[in-house]
Amino acid sequence: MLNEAEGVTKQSLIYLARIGLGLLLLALAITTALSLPLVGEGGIRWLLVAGLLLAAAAVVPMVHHFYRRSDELQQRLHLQACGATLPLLFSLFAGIGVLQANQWLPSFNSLWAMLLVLAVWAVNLMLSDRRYRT
Amino acid sequence: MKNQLKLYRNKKELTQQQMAEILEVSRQTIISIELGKYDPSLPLAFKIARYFEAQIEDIFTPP
Repeated sequence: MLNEAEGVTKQSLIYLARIGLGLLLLALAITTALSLPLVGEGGIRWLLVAGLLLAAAAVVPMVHHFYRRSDELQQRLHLQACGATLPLLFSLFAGIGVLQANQWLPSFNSLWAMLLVLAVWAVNLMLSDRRYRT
Repeated sequence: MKNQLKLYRNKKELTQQQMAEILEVSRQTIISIELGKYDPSLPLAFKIARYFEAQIEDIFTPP
């Protein structure tokens, strides 16, 4: 039993470390993207833009790969989280669009919208997860 | 749906992690099934029943 508890703690730590690393990489990518105007017009800027676009495109196959590897409960959790996130974001962005069209809200970089998507999805995933734990 | 998974698992003296590895699912799935929070798919229910050499209805009972 003690071994199982140790194993669970170890798995939780690995899981948290992965999330931490992912957030760190995301923060680094966003900082780099927002700092692009400060980089000169040389080849380094093109290289950074290409790298960031490639990283953004790589998210799709990575998510598919992760989803296929997940077991049936994890897949259900993700489906529920996505199902809850989609209508919420639809309403949210429709509302933001109306306010921006009326110039009550300033236009903002899509990177902030991406972070909003990530945050809403993460909260919904956490809520879905809780349903099956307690 | 109620189930006797914990009872069957304890009879075989298996931990949740070992059970998860045998059934090729996550430990969370085993925990959720045992808590009655998650009803497994039919293929997984068959896999569980086959492993314990029991009928599905011996392990899972409808509410």
